[in-house]
Amino acid sequence: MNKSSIKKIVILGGGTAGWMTAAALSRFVKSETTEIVLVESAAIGTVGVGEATIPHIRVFNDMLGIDENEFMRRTHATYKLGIRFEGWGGESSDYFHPFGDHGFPIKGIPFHHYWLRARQQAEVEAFDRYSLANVMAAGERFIYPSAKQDSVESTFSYAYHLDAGAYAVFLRDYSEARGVQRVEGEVVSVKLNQDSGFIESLNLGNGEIIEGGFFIDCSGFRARLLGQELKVPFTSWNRWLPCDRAYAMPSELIAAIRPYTRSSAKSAGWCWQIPLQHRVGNGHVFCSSFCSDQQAVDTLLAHVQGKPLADPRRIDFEAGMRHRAWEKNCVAIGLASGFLEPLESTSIYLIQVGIYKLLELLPISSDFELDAKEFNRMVADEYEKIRDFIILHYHLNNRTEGFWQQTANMSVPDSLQHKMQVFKESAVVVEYDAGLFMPPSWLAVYFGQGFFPERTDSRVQQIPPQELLPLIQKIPNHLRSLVEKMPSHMAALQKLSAGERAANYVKPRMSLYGGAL
Amino acid sequence: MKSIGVIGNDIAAWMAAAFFAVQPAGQRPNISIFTGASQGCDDSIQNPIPDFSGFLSLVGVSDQQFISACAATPTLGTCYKISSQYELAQSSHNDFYHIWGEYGSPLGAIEFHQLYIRAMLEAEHSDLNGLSVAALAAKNNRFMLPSRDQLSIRATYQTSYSFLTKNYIQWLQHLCKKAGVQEDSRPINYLLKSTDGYRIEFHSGDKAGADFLINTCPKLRDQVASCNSWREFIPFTQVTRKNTAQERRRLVSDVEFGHNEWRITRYAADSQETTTYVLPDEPVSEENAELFSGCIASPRENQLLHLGRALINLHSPLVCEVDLIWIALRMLQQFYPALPDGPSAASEYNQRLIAAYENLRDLSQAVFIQVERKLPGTFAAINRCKVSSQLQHKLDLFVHRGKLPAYEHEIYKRQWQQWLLLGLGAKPSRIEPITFHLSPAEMRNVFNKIKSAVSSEVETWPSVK
Repeated sequence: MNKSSIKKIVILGGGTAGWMTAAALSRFVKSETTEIVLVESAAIGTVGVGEATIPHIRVFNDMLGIDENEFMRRTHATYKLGIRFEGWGGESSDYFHPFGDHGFPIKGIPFHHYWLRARQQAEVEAFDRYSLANVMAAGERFIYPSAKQDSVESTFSYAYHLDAGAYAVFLRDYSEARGVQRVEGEVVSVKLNQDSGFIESLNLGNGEIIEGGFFIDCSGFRARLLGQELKVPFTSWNRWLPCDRAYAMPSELIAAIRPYTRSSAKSAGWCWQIPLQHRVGNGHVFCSSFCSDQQAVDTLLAHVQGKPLADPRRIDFEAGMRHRAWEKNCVAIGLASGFLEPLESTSIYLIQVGIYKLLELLPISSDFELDAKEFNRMVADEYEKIRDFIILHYHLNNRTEGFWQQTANMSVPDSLQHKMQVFKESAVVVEYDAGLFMPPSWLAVYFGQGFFPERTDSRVQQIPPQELLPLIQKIPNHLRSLVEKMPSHMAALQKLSAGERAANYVKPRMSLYGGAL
Repeated sequence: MKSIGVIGNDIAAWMAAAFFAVQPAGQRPNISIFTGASQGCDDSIQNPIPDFSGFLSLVGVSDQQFISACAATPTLGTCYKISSQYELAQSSHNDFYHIWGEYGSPLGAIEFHQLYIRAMLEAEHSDLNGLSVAALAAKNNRFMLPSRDQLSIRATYQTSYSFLTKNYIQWLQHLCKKAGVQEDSRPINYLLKSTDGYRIEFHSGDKAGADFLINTCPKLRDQVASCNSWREFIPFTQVTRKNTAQERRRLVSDVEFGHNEWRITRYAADSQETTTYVLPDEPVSEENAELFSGCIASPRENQLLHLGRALINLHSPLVCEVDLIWIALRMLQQFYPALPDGPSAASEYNQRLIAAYENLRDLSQAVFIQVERKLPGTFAAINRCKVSSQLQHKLDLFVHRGKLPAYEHEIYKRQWQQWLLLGLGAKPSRIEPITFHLSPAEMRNVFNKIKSAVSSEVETWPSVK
């Protein structure tokens, strides 16, 4: 038996991906047997726009044993209940993608079938009004979800808006306190083993040589190790996701902090607005074939509400992923393994996915083949499922601009085409056991962007209006009355300093057998 | 849909009729069951996995009502007797109780099965049955219902039922009659495909049809579709089934292995049934291919759905006939036919169902492969069988590091699979480095704590003898 054949793990890159990886490894890899080194260069900037998250980040922080209050203070975080999409689908469309359910299943049949049927019979409220998270977001309220499964307050979840740079610093402190060694320097060359092609060491500009048994490429878009050295090709998805550039810029906070991200469609892309405790993060993602840099900056400036705190910073990118995220003795995590635009705040989630899978498959012998095969299978599966969901946003639109016409008329991946076709024919959302976006997310976008099925469940079709409508019509009012009693988001943020913690804290399972060790 | 026709008189036909009869509807479709194509109920015993409770919920029956109506008795899983000879299997020394639940408990990010593997590799082998309340309870014939309190030790397992097929069918018939299902017992000769759909033809020459037809008879299926044999994966054929009066009360079914054969004994309230499966000595002709496991390629074709034995035949110690039927019906609950729905919904249903069945086939094959690895010579022929690439990857990864990949549409939970393989003697060669966060003394402490808590808990449970 081999306790760990890897004596030294080297992480290249100190952005969000690098320090998240370092923190997780420092928590779960024994420092007595394995040395963890992170190499970063102050000369190389980080992208640092992964500021909106999804609820999975809470699991990651819990896994590290991070206190929520401290995390929120250090990262200037605010709560997030979902994303408001403005102008997607059509100029006047406005819908909310919540972290949570819409309505509830009745007699084993998903709620949306009843809503669709009611919609055929009379005027009913928009689908997102049946989501507690949306009603809370609209009212700028916040409470922690309830742990009681039969409570309406258990039907939503939450995430954070955070300062990604501050999060990286926070995790750096965490990691260094647990023995991670930070080395400042820029990689000028990489030594590969002549026979195996494995990475042996990184040569830094200051002459230092960093040897290692296993390397984690968190170098961002450059993919310094996986792409440049190991020559793993990149699969571009720009035929489906043609946006290739963004301008990002912080601005002053001038209004109450909203508990949601705003995503507003523009003539050749979209703008984000992410409220933190001390500023607002703004950005404009666009397709350079349809929009010049100047037009893009003008669009961003027109969208920003507070005083700009810096000049707009340009970021170039290409949607896609590396053929293999694990090659030889190197794994890429974060932007080095692939990129999907931050439309659904999946950047940090995809880093987490890489970290979880790596922790599950951390090399335990010099034979990496099976580990790499499984890692690559799982990571590719995650990326492709998220890719389809992002493409859906672009594809479902009736806007008139050239960019939007192009995305509306493009051929989408077969996997997405199949999902849409099944939904169109039967109102059934194709689900998967593993992967990120569940039916409530797909329904939010389908309905929010005007994609309605040709028929609904035949069992619901026969329910007479007098039975169905009263039920469907009363739910939004009920949710609104619940939300009116909730504290405001601002009040919830103020409670942070009072030390209030999440209500759904779960005891370790080992407590079943007489307590933790 | 204005009319639904179910063809058959066995467990699948009556489950299907009940399934459609309880569906919500403003105006319920006419449901007919055409029983003149098959013989009806047999004297077998069913012991489904806990997912079966979903069917009881669907038909609106409480556990108590079901127990009383079908003389159902509680079950906790399966006992695998790890010996290559039936005689030796009579000793309980090598028994592995595979329950539907947890053994031990994860320690933060350390999965307990990894810790168990470490203990095995360090020769600190611990009796698996003593690490789970349900397994130890099953071994000692003690029973308590699981708790809904997630922080209770009794929330670590699930239970199900064992019952006679004939009792179950009688109960389903009663349920269907109450719901207005019409029974037509005229003998059926043919299932015919015409330009406007499928029809059945009675012996008298009369024809009947429905907006949606469910066929459960393999003979009628063969008139319109073909079945893919899985003999290359699972080369066993069923040879005997023997019912006797109950010799002892059991909370599990017993699976025993002999040279080129295996048998499963299921226990109902006052009887037990042993089914034996063998690796045939001589080649089996194509016309007897239905003796092997197999599955139809396309379960739903427009307005016709094949179900039960017309859909799948799987010789497996993991599931029973009711499980295979409920898997198909449960998916139909999501992909409920909305005629004329397009081909995509039906194709998605077919693809998911076949994937779920193939995963079960693979896992069943994994059991036989593992038994052969543990007890060489028991099923030598299994080494020459075809193995799907998914199963190969699963077995390789498990041996490599005690980890199972997750696939879509798996009915058996990953956790159940891990313990199944370990309990059958799989020995991964390595484990996760994170497991070494515990010192040997800490690890022993964890095992002792769990064993002690499990044993104290089970002692308080009532015996079912």
